[in-house]
Amino acid sequence: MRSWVLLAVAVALTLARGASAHKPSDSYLRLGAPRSEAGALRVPLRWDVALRDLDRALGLDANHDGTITWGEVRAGDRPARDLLLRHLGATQAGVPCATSIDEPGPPQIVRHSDGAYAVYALSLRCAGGGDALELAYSLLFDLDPQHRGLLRSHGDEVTVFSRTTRVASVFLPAAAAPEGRLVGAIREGVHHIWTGYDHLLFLLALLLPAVLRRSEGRWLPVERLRPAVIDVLKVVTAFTAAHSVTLSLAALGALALPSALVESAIALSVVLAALNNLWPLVRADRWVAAFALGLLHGFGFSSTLSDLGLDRVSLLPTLVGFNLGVELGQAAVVAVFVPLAFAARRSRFYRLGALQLGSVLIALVATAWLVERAFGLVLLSR
Amino acid sequence: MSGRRIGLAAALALTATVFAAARRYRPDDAPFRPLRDDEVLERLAAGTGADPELDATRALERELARAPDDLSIAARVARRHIEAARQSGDARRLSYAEAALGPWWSQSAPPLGALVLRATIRQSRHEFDRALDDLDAAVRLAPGDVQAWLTRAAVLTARARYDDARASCAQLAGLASPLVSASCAAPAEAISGDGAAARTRLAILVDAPGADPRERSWARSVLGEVSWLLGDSLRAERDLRATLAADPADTYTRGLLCDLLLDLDRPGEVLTLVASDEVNEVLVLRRAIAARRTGAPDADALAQRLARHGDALRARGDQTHQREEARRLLVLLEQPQAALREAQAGFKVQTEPWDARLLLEAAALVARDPAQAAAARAAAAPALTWLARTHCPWPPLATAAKALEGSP
Repeated sequence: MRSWVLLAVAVALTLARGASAHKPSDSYLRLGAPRSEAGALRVPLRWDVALRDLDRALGLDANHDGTITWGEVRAGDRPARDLLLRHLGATQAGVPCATSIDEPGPPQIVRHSDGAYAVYALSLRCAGGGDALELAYSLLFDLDPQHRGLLRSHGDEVTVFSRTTRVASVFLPAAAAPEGRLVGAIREGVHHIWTGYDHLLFLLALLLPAVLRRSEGRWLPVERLRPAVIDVLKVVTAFTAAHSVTLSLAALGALALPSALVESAIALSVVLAALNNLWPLVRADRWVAAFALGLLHGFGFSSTLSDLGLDRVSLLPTLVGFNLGVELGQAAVVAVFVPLAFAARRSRFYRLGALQLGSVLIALVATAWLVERAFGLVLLSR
Repeated sequence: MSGRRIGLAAALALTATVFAAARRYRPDDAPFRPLRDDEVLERLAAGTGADPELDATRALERELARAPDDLSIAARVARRHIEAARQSGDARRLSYAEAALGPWWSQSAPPLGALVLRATIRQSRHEFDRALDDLDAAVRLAPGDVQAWLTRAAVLTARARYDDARASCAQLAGLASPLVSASCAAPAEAISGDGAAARTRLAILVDAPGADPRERSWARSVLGEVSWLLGDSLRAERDLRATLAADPADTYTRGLLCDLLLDLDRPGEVLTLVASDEVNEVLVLRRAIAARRTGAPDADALAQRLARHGDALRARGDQTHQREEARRLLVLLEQPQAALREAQAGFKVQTEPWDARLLLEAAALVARDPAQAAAARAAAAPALTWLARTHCPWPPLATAAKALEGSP
């Protein structure tokens, strides 16, 4: 009794004096764009569940050492899938939807403000018709009454599931037609090449020496535009062809690499491409190098593609569209870069400022990325 | 245009691209699959290695699962979670305590054991009125329940009912040690007038031989806070540092000391007091403010982390973070308008010196714009009324009130 009084003293006063320092438990759900599929509607749903919450429900920390490792997440994958599917139901106009987690293998991991979460990609297959979807959510409420499920649906509208509000109806936009999907994928591909800085820097590193030629250890300007353009086209097309291959294989599930490894290797490829401009090893056949490294970059694209919500029906138009979009985005970069570079190729500044200094900068940034990705450090401000 | 100029333009564009890439690259948001099975993704408890507390609590929970209607087991589980929440600030543990009390949680008149625990959890969620209902019922059932009287005093202080709080502490005479009684009443006394006498009494008791070490540690922290309220930052720093030396895990006192050091314009010491990998968001805010003031490299990263934290709390409709949120908006983001709205809403729920200070400071900054001065003064009126009623001696309150008065 005595110790309980003491406990009470401390609890009563400190809880009254301080705000809770951590967020209570939430899971994050995000509805994707519905698609028609074999007479039904398939709605993708991304569900991020905190590893701490999975541990609470399933005891992920198998060795009781107070930490959750990737190995423990992988070992808990099956029970986690069962748990999630048991606690989320969907109906459309009274007709139950089939819920499933199609992707094989362990979940991805993402960091939210309060820790690491497992990311599961669910599919709801509904045949009830209409533009509404009723969802029933019951994860964790028996173990953690303050748990909330935050559902982001179409138009960024947020619905909050709680112990007392377990059912909600959300608006479902019309399913995308196949041609709309193609256009959307093209747009996504263009967007990706323009905002994916590592791919853009890799492309720049390859393009910088395109208007020069190497002679007796020195860079000399090329005489005519045509061979420069052909060289650039060879490099860019080899890159696109190569990443189309690996991207397709990864999207089909035929090949999978850990994303941390892929991201590190991509950073390394940018370093190598930039260093090759300073101390050329690969010369005439730069397109061969572009092809080899393009194979690697294709894996990097595949995580973006999985956000588009792939399924067997829409796979082909999405893949074709995305690759086309990447190619178009690259073509636009080339169309701006090559004429400028060609005009400037005779200047000392192009050789020193753009080629040499530019390659040094690219190599430095990519080295920082490499260290960050390989060792999980933070070097560049974000 | 000469080739040279175009070369220069191309080089500049390239440099800009490189720096834009370096600035905007953010791998944090992207889902990933780790490489190695032994990569640690999450820590369940502070420190490293197994947590005996967590294991013991889980064993008790398994026992409770077999007998969910056994209040004595449920109360033990709930107490363990509440104590863990107190130490770590982890709101999940409070919710687990609520889960253990499940069968009694929604009863209108639960047994005494469940009543006081429910009040403790409700109070920590700033459901002060419902906590008070529970505590009033508890002291009627058991007038000798020390915990009920103490918790009641804390809630009444948070609701600015200082006389009632002191009366609640007076009930502890004969039930608890004089040190506990004095520590219970000191905050209410310091805010509402008799601070100097309360501090002298507490200072004598805290150094008296034979005091219980845990009671003493807690009392010394209260003494530090009371000294600061009375404007004696030297004495405050000494007592807060002594408390921390005895119990480095006392995060509440650590936060208090950070606040004091920030007021004394010694942000460098806050950086040493709060590690860069701190997970407690209250402490992270202190470090973020210190990092901003000293130009430390992690300032932006910390601010972004707190912004994500605030967004996540807002998304779930949380109301308990208003004071921290007002401070973040006011001090870190320098958005007095938004801070004023947050502080205004917070002051209605919790009425403590910090709540009043943030409301007054935000209003004073907003009122610098003559077009908004009247609205700002109206928003801060409850804090001014509170200050006039209590004469709370904390110097920052008078400074902020004067700044607000002096506005156009």
